[in-house]
Amino acid sequence: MESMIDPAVLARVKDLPLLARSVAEGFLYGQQQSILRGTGMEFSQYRSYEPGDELGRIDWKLFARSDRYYVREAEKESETNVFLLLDTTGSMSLQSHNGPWNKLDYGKALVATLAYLAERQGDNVALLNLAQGAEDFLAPSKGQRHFHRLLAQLAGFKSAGGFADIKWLNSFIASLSKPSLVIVVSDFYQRNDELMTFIKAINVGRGELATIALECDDELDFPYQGPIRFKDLESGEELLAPAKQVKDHYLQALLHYRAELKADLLGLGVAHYPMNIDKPMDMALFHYLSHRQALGV
Amino acid sequence: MGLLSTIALWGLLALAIPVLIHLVNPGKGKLVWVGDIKLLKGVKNNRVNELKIKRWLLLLVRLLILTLLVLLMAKPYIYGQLKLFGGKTILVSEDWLTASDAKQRESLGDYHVLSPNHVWQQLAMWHQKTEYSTQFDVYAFDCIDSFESAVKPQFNRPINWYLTPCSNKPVAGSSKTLTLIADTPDKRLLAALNAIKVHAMPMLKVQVVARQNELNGASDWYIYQNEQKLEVSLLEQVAKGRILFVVGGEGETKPWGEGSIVPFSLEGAHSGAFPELLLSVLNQHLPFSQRVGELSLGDAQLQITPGEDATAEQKVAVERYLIYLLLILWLIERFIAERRDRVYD
Repeated sequence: MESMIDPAVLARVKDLPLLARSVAEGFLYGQQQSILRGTGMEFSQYRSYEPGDELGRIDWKLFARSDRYYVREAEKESETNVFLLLDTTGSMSLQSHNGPWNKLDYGKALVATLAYLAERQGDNVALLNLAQGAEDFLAPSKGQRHFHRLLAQLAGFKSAGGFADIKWLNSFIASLSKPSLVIVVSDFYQRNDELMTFIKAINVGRGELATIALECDDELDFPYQGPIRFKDLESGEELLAPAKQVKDHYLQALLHYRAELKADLLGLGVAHYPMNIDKPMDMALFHYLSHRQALGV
Repeated sequence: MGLLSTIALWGLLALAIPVLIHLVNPGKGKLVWVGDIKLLKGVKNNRVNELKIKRWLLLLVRLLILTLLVLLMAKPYIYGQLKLFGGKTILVSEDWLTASDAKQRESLGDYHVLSPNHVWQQLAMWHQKTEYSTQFDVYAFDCIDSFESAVKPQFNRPINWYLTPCSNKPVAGSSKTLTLIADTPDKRLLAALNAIKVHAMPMLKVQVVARQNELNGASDWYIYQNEQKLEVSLLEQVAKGRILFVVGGEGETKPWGEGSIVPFSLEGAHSGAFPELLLSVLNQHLPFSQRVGELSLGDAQLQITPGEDATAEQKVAVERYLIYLLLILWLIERFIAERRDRVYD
C-alpha cells in the first residue's frame, strides 16, 4: 500500500463528502464490490449467459426475441442497518502536538467514509452522537439525500462534555430491531465505565458490533519532557509532574488499559480495532475492512 | 578591590526584575492536555521538589548574571599583579649589551635591543605591543640619562630589573671641545677651564682663538668674549646644535636653530667656586646623555630604582575575567532554561 493519503493532506480537506469519497475510492480501487447483484425484486440489468449460471435465471422471453441467452439480474436488497456511533465527548479533542487533526476530526472523516461505503452497498445508515447534550440520532435510511443529511449532521458535531445520558441511549437501544452492524468510534476514555455498560447493553445478539478506538502518537509515545501540567480534557483535573518520572508508569498503565479493553471487548464477542489518527486513514480502513471480510460479515 | 564608577551600582536595582518574575510566574511547567488523567496518577510525586530547586537555581544564576553585568559597568579593579599567563620578554639596552661579555649574552636567550636612551618610552611601547601578562626582564645601566623622560609610564605588569650601576658604565670615547673666542682671554676664565680639565673632564679640549674667522673645526661649546658683532660662520655652528656663551650678554637664553645662545656673566669669577659653577653651566645646556664631569655624575645615579615602583601594588582591571565568568553563567542559564522549556522530545 504505497500510495496512502497523508493524514496531513486529508485533514486539510474540509469537505466531508469529498473526503469520504477520496478515502473510500482510493482503496476500493481494484477490489470494488459495491452493490451486490443477484436475484431480487428490483430489476437491475441483463447480462449474457455464462456457463455456470442457473438455467432458471435465463430470461426465456428475451431468448425468444433475440435468440440469445440472457440472465436477469436484480439489485440485491440489503436488509442490514449500519449504525455509526461517534463519541464526541471532550476528550475527543485530543491531538498530537505535531498532528494534523484531533480525534474528533478523524472520527468524523472515518464515519463519513464508512457511511459512504455503506451507502454504496445499499445499506441503511444511521448516525448517533454519544456525547451528553448533543443527542442526535439519525434513523437508519438509504439514498443520496439521506447520506447528505447524515454528512451535514456529522459536520456539525463539536467535542464537548461527557458521555450521553443512559436513559436517552435506551431509546436508541430499543430501535435496534433489525439485524444490524453497529460501529462505535470512540477514544474509549471513560469516567465510570459508562461506555462499556452501553456496549454491553447494545450487544444483545441483534447484530454485529465493532469498536474502533482512536489513538494518537503523543498518547502512545509520551514524548514530553520537563515539568508538565497535565490537564484532563473532560474533568479539568490538573497534575503537575516531571514527564520523565511519570513516563514509565504512564506507558505501563496505558498498555494495561489497552490490553484490558481489548480483552473485555473480545470477551463480549465484539471486534476491536485501534486506529492511530496520525497514520494514513485509508490504511487503517483497509485493514479494518479486510479483517471484516475475512470474518465473512 | 574597588570600583571605578560606583554610580553604576544603581543598576543592582535591576535584580528586582527576575525576582518579581519568579514570584509572579508560577512556573508550573507547560500545559499538556490528556484524554484521561487516571493513567498518570499513582506515581509518587517526590520529584516535584527537583523542579522547585531548578527554578531557584535558575533565579540564582540570573541574579548572578545581572550582578556581574552591573559590576562590569562599575569597572572593577583589584590591587596587585595578575600573573595568570606566563610569557617573558627580555629587553636589553644597547650600552649594556656592548659592555657585556659573550657569556652574559649567551645566558639571555632571545632578547630585544633597546636604544640606550629613552628607556621609559621604549618600555611603554613594548607594554602596548605585548600581552599584558607577559613579564619584562630589563637589562640596563641605571644611569639617569637612560631613563630620561617627562613622566614615567604606568606598567600593570611584572618587570624584573637587572640594573648595573652607572659608575661601571665604560666612558664613551667622545671628547668635548670648548672654543674661547677672545682678543684678550679672561685669565680667571682660563684658570677655571684648566681646573675643569684637570679635575673633572680630562678629555676636554680648550681652544683659544682671537677672531671668529679663525675658528678651526666644530666645537661643543663656544665662549665669546669679544665686543664685535657675531658673525654668520659662528651662528651657523650654533644652529647645528652648539651652545654659544656670550660673555657680558644681556637677556634670556634664546634658542638658535638646534643650539642656543646663552648670556654669561663673569661675576663671581674671583671666588673659588667658579670652576664648579662654570661646569654646571656648561652641563646645563647639554642633553642628559651628553653631560659630563664628576659634578653631575653624583646626581646621575638613580635615586629610586625603577624596579621599586613596578613591584608596588597597582590597580589591575578584571573586566576580562568578569566577561569570561559572565559567558559561562549565561551558558549555564541557557542550559537550565532550555531543558526546562522543552516539552517535546
